[in-house]
Amino acid sequence: MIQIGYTKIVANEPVDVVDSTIEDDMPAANAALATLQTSLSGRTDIDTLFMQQYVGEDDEDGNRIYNKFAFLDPA
Amino acid sequence: MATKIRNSAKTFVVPALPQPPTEYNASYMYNKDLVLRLYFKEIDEALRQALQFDTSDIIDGSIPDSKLEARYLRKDQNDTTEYTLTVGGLVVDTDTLYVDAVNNRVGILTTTPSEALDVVGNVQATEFIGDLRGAVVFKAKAGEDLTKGDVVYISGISGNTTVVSKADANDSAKMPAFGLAAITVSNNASLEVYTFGTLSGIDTSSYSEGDELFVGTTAGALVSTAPTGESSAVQKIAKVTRSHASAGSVKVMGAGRTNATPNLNNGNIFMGDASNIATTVSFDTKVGDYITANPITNAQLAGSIENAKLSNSTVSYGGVQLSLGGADATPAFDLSDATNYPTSSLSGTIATAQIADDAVTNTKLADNSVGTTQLGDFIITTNKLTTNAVATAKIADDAVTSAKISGPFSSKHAFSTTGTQSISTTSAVTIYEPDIPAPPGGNEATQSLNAAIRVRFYNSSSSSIKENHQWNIKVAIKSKTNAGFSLGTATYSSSPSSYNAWYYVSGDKTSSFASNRGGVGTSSTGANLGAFVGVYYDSVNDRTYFRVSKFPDATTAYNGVEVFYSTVNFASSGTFVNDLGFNNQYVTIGSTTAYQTIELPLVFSFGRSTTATETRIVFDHVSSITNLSTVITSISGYVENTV
Repeated sequence: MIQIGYTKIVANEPVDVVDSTIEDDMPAANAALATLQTSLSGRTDIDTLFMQQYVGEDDEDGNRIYNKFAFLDPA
Repeated sequence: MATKIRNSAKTFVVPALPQPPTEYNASYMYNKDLVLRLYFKEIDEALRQALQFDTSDIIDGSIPDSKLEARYLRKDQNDTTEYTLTVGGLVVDTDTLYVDAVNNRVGILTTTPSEALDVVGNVQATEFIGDLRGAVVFKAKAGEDLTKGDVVYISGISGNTTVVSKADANDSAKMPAFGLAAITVSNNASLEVYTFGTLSGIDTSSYSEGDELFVGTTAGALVSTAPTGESSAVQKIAKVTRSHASAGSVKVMGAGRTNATPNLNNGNIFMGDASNIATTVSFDTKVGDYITANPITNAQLAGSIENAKLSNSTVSYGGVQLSLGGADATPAFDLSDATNYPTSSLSGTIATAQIADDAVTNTKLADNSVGTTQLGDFIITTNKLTTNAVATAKIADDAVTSAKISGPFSSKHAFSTTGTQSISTTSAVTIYEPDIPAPPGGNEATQSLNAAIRVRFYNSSSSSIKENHQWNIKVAIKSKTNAGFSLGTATYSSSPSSYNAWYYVSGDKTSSFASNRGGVGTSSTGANLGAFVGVYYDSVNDRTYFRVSKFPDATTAYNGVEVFYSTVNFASSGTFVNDLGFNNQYVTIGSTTAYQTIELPLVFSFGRSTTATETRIVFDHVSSITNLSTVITSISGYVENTV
């Protein structure tokens, strides 16, 4: 499962925002990331766009851990 | 006067004598024999009926002169003078003959003659001398239902009567037209047909006065535009003299013949046939047939024939092919196609400049015919050698010195930082971006990074220790393409956990992988993406085992299907893709206000490339940095191209 999102700066602190969730399909994920980059074009508060994937690992509290593996600079 | 009653049935019958009227008195009756007084009741009517003759009462024939008292008009029986009978007006049988003495006109079947002789009805005469005014018609019989104004042709004869039917310009059997129907009649009824002159009382509202009318392609119809095409005959037959919906009139003319020059289709011409009759033929076909049957002779040609018009524009002779025309004027003679050209025919020498590259092949050289002593320095340049043209066995020991080798087998490009960099946020921070230069000469090279990061942590708390702080450092490379390459068909092997699985593919594929990074998919663009987390080669079975992390179908997603691997997880070009550094580092500072320094090695291979690779080193605090200050005190290492 791949999540598409972005990190924006709020009060000088980074905040991750997940925009969409896609099954493990990189063509669809790449397209979603490109669409997100276009939609956020011109936003000065966007630090990075990212893709992260859940590979079955949870933390001690049972929360899913998503591994950020791809980063795209805002347009 | 000279009549004779011969009908005995009409015998005069004397009525019975009546009794004397009562007014006669006895005295009268007494003297009745003295005076005969007759009284016949109803004798006038009896006489009238008895004397009313019909034609059968008159004897046929004529009265001879001997029976006549006189043959001439005379005053009395003794008068022998002949007199002229002068009559002021004469009426015979009401209007059979009527003489208008006032206007000096004679009418037949009319009492109001408008001309000197006015006849209502047909006139038959052996010959008429003088001008004619009015239409010319003929009596006919309808061969089908006809409407007044229909244009008709002569379709046959019935007894002595001409039969007419609707004419049709599209049907040669129904042409030419001979006139217009004067009245509306049913089949077999009699009618008159106007062949010349004015026909009135028809609908001509669709025309303008002066329009010329032709026989149309609809049976019986007139049209104001001549029909076209060779299938249609052209016959102009009338002209509109009045345009009106009911009282219109046309002047009929030109009946009885179609145009001597018929329609002619586009591209056709008239040509006389074997019967000396004009027929239509296609100009192209006829001329083509003629030229085929009568080829153009040389004597009929003027000028020259271009090469392009020749089916064979070259001449071959003795293995040499000459092209005709100006294009081959220089060189005038091309030996490229010549064979068996004897060397004895060569004179002079062939200069090196006249030998094209690769013109002298190995098969033209006898063994050892070119000795090394005959080769000057740098005679054989690299572009004269094909790949692997010089086998290793042909290279003498120590023949190749380092001076003869251009380009590195491995090039390392160092980097280091001398300043410090504080990390005061829990978000990922890029601390360095060392790019790997493109391999020299466009060669393909395995690119890698080898570095060490030194991190100094400080627990600023004066009361508590810092325990199990999580952090990690990732190295990302920028994707150049989202396309992976095929590893072959994968087979499931084992599963160490619920979201991890080992698969294998045939052969050694380990050189294709970049350690600790990339992803596996079931298409070249990354369908069913799973994180690549391990690889090794099994030489016994000649298999490459690889491990994939994917949830929740890690054990089935790749079994029995072709799998693809991508160093950059199939991400689109321009995207930075991390290594799989999700296993965090832990640091514990067991004292208050104390430092802890950790040096972390970064060793990554990025696979093969022919272009520069952009890399990015990222530091990421995972857990809270309360009471913790972090400083990158050193980054040093190198990136490398290995050809």
